[in-house]
Amino acid sequence: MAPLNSWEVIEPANYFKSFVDQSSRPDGRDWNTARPISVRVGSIGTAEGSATVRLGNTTIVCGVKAELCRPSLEHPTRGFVVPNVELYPCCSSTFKAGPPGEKAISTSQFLQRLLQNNEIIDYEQLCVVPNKWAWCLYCDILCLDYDGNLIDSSLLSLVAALLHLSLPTVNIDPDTEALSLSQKHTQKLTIKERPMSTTFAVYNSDIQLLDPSAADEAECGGEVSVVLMESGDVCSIRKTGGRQVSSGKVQGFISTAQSRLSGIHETLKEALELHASANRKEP
Amino acid sequence: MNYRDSRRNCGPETATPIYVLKSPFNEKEEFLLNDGKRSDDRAPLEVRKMYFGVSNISQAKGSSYVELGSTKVVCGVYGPKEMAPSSIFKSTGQVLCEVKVAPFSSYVRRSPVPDRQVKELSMQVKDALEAAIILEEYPKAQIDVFLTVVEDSGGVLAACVTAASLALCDADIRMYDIVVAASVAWYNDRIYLDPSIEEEECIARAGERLATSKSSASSTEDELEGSNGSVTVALMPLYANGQVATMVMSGSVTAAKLQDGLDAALETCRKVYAIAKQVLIQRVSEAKLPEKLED
Repeated sequence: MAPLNSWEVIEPANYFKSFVDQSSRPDGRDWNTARPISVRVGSIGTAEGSATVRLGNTTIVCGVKAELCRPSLEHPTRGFVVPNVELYPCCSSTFKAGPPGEKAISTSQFLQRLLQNNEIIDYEQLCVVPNKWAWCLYCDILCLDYDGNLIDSSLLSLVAALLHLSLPTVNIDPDTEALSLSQKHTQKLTIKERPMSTTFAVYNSDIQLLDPSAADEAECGGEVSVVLMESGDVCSIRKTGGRQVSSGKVQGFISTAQSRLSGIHETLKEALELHASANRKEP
Repeated sequence: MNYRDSRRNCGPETATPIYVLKSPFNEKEEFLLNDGKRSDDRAPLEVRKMYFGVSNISQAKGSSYVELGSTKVVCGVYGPKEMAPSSIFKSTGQVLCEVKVAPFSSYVRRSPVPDRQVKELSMQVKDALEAAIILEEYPKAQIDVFLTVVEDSGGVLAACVTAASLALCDADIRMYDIVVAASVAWYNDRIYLDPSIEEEECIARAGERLATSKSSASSTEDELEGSNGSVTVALMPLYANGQVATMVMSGSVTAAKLQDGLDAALETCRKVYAIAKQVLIQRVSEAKLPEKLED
């Protein structure tokens, strides 16, 4: 519990401005420093794939549950991946109890569009028998502690959970057409690309803050998210909110995002290797 | 999902969970293996490893994290804050308790929309907390307790109650005592402490068999002799020599066995209480002193 700072409560805009005027932010970082990232996979035993991501205080858990279903008529050889972001009131006082609000819905839509429009997942691999059986992966992304930057953390947790995911192999009896599943889950998903995002909160058209915390987001009006593939190619850029950004800044966002890429991918690889080696030790 | 939820991304209309085609549990009917241990290598009167942490949510006034074996519960407490203006005047405070169960927390995916079980769980936790919080000190105020079940491996009600109490203590809410909870199961006349999800399912299946055998008026009771059931007890050990805040029991248990099981549950509660107290004391001693306010 933080001690009460009266100025912060009475005049939040001026309090925040006093930090920005010194090229800083209330949590002590400068405008272009991101918080430390930590990733752990395999935290949830009941899910087929899971990952926990921490960006500073923001804690996101992604759990993937697999179910078998019939492929749709338009795409008889493709499976489904259904991402959903849940922001419970547990994680912050800004979210109310009840059905998902705007922030959760817009983040879920962003993730779904990203997965559908880009060569990230091999949907044909998810189809077991064309027209009959396909995998449907429900990816539920839960926020346990919301301290800003939902986009980066939820995308990272989604990618990590899909990389961790392992499915049982499906055997179909040719005579009865009955399904049987293997006891062990050994089939891994082919993830062709690993998108990573970098988010900036827009304070005004000249000042944007990398990796905003909740306090930063409260004073800023909108955010810019740059999603890059592992090679550095731009996958998606999204700007939301009412404040403007100078057009010359866009290249700067992409460069900053590119410079962060190797660090994030390194963290992700370490987490996956740690989990794999821990599994190998167990008989 | 049976209906299209317009606020969430929905998958295909019908999907079969993996665990309909193969069960995650060995569908055996014995709790004890040959060496006298349970399937997760515990003795009948041994509880699972517990971990308690507090102040894990930076945004909440008070928060806690409880692990009972693999069951993981996070709790955030907000308040006391002003009650909604439309409510009638109450001279005591109100507790709003809501449990959210993550869709991936059980072997078969749960719908994100809270179902009746989850709503009942919320009510049970609320009852336990209303007995413990000194609501007279918070007139016209509302205390929000939000719980998130991240993984459900048995003993969820017990974990939720304990997590809620720890979070309330972390939030400096005045309480009569810390409420801790523990669960106990009876199976074939033996008592087992802290049943895991496998064991809870086994008891549920035994209960169903009993119900169907009685309704079909057959008298093959050889398999189902004895007590089968489970109970979760929430206790305030030090307040007025021990007060039970809430007790939820299901199954059919003989009166003698019931008393033995309750005693075991209360004893476990006292042990959990000692750990919870330890965690809170450590938290207080680690917390920095508040900075002096400048005039």
